[in-house]
Amino acid sequence: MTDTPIETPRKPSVRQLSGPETVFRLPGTQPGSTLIAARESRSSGSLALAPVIEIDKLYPAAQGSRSHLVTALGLLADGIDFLAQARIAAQKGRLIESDRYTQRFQATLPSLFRCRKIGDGFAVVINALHFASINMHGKPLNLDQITTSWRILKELRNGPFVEFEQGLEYVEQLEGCGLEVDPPIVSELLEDLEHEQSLR
Amino acid sequence: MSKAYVETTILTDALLKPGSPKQSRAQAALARYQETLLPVYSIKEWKAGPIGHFAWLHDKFVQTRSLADTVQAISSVNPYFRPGRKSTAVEALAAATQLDAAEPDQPGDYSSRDAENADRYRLALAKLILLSWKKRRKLTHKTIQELDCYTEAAPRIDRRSGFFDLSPRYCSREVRCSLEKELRARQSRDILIALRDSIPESSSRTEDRNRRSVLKQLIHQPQKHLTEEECRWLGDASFAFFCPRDAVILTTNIRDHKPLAEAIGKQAEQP
Repeated sequence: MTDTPIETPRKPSVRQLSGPETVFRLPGTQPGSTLIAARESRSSGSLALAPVIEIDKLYPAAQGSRSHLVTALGLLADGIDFLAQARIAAQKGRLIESDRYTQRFQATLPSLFRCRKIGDGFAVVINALHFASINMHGKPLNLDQITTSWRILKELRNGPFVEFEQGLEYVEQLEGCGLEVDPPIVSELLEDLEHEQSLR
Repeated sequence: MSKAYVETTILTDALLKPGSPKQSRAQAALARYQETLLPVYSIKEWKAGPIGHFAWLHDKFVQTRSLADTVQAISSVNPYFRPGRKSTAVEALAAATQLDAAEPDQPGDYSSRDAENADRYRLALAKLILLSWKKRRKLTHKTIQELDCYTEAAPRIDRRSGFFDLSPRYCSREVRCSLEKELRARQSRDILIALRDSIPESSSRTEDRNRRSVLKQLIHQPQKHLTEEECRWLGDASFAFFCPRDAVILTTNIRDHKPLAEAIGKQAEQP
């Protein structure tokens, strides 16, 4: 393995909002909000579909842009690239190199979550990948896990305004390849509440 | 052929305690039997109990948008949640969201790290509730004893309020209890007497007193219809009564289920 340093993407500048409405049930969460604009381009009075417009053309990354979507698209592109490299390395049996790329991907997750204003579907997938990384305790992802994450990230980048239910389907696929996507101590919260119930 | 009749606590441990030793034990126990049977009564209890608790917690995160305030809320409903434990819990829960200990404090869209953590837990709870519901009937080989009086509706998040809607949590009051026909049958009387006698008359626990009173009513006034509340009070006795003869009740609450099951010649096992 070569010892070439892997370039880490630049830190995106995330817009600070001034209002109190920040994270819960944001406009982007509602189905169809921004998606409608994208879909409108598919036909104009006929049933024929217009050519698909690439996401990067729909949302070009103008220099200095601080939109959540543009930031997320950039980070997702970085993540996809890291995982693609990780896959290639894993397929060739170069496990340390594969893990080095996976680590770089995992480092983008906190910044990606800060773009969660895009919607709950997007957020639930990124949150699941985040907790999956924590639950690995540094253990490298296997090829199946890398491939599943890579594939889902590509789908997410292609259509970031996913509904929550679609996001859950992606999370199910992550679970299906053996990733533990829940916060490590969430079950303890339930036990505290069950204890309260047993006192009645 | 070994068969397990799966009680609510197993459903809870297997589906709502991800990554915990309890989940591993429940899953290993389910794998021990050649056939596993899940009565819909378990699903009903599970939705009204543990799912309801997690939904409450989810809604508390929606309401407070703060991990610290939500932990405070847990401690106010649980007197055994010691004051010292409160700060430890906040720290442990906050630490559990950090991918990297050296992660810079950049709240982004959030007013604070506390708000970001609350949002992370809210999303995780919503995911856990909705996906565990989806998996409930896949956990065992068969789901049995459907209840005409109960609508097994999936939990959903109200788009306007952001809160979970778990309705209906209980059986319909308009439909006769689906279990009562068998419970009120003449040949059931001796079983009901044995179940009642297995509950200590001196017990001060509310659930024991309620269970005894429903069993007494079924024995002495079999013509009287069971109300939705009485069906719920029957609780553990219902598992003993309806567990097939060739199966064992699989539960983590062996203390309550064992005496009831043994009183009528059945068995209860723990994972």
